[in-house]
Amino acid sequence: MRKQLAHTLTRSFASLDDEELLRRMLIGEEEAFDVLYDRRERLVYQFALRMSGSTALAEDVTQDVFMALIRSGHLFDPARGTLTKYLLGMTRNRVLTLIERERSFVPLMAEEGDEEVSLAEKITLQADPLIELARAERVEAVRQAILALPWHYREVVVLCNLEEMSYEEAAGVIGCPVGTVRSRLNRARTLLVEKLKTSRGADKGTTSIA
Amino acid sequence: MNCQEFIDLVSELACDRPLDASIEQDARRHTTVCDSCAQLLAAQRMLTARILEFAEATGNLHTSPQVKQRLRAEVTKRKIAQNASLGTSIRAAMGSVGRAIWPRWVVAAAISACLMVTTVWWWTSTTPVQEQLAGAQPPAAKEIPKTSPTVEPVAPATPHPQVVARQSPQHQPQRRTPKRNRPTVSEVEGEEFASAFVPLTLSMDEKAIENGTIVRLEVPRTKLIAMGLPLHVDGDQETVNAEVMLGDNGVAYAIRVVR
Repeated sequence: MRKQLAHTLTRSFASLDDEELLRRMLIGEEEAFDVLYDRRERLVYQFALRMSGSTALAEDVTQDVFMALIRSGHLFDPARGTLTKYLLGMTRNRVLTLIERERSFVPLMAEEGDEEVSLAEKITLQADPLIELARAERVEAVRQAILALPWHYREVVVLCNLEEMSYEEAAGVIGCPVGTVRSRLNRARTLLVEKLKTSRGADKGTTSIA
Repeated sequence: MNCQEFIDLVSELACDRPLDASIEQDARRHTTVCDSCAQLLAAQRMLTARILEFAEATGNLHTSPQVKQRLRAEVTKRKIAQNASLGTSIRAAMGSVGRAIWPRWVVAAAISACLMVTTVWWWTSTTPVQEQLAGAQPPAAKEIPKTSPTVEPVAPATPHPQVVARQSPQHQPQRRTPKRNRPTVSEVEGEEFASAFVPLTLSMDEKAIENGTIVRLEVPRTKLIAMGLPLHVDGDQETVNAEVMLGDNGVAYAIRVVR
């Protein structure tokens, strides 16, 4: 009975837009938080993950971003953009801050079992091990290539190609003109092609990325 | 379209982003005549496929459930804190309003004022001046020698409480008049009217006035006003008739106006 009631509540909240959910969450309605989190958590987490390449960092960032939303959500101004843009802006700033901070630390020694499970291992399915292994390698190569891009190129690739945002939306998140996004994306894609060619050539001794 | 223009558009072409139809046709036509641009487009299309594969592979990754639990706990905690602070605010507001409206000294002053008003009202309603003075008169007031043959002593409207028992039935209290700030004019005999007695001393010596005398005088109106009698300042008479109650000791205890 209680579960049914909670399910009904969640369904009714699901029809609300982000701003209304945020307003309700700020007055303490947990169901509103549930719906808002389920709706936007993937976006925040994956943007952080694709920008940083670290699941631990992405999880920390996601928690930080939503914690900030819970504590300071009243600072969000719908007139200045959507909640998605607001969340991605916060995520971008936090990822950048954490990456800059981690850059200043040099690990003394990696402990056994301390390293993260690689993305390739995470996405490997057991249906056809050879095919999945090849696929995982390709994915890992793209991941490495994206992570090797300079920050300002990386974010346009993540936003425009991985999150499939328009140039205008990406420009809103980054805070730059649309033309800049377009030119950065062109340059970033050219760099990615080159990096993937190089990695492929290093693996198989060819220059083709196909 | 030349190669540079094609390179500028290759990302949009490779990602199938919407382009102007004529521009898209020009670009496709250019790939048929330029091998390098055709290879560039092929490489970009391959990149798009790789990126989509990467996006699909990582599209189902989520945070651990503990993150959501921690955040939900924070929402609940803040809700409790908000409710608590709301209650505190209401209590504080109520307290401050209460203090603002009813500070202790105001309450004390209000109570004191009420007591004073009640006491004065009770005193004036039960023992008006004329009744005090009339009640203080001896029962044989009519036997007091009159200094003025034209004036009869006025029966007291309400006797003093202490002397009520001693008064004869003809001296039963009359109905008091509502206004106490002006001398009450009562009909004496014929056409003469006398006001209530106004005390001239703070204390009344009953023994001294037991056989007192009432003396009629003509007194300047200004003098009576200066003594505190509530007379109209703009009266047309310079002098008014007044009766003064003298005690045995010769002290003038009260005065009233006769008209």
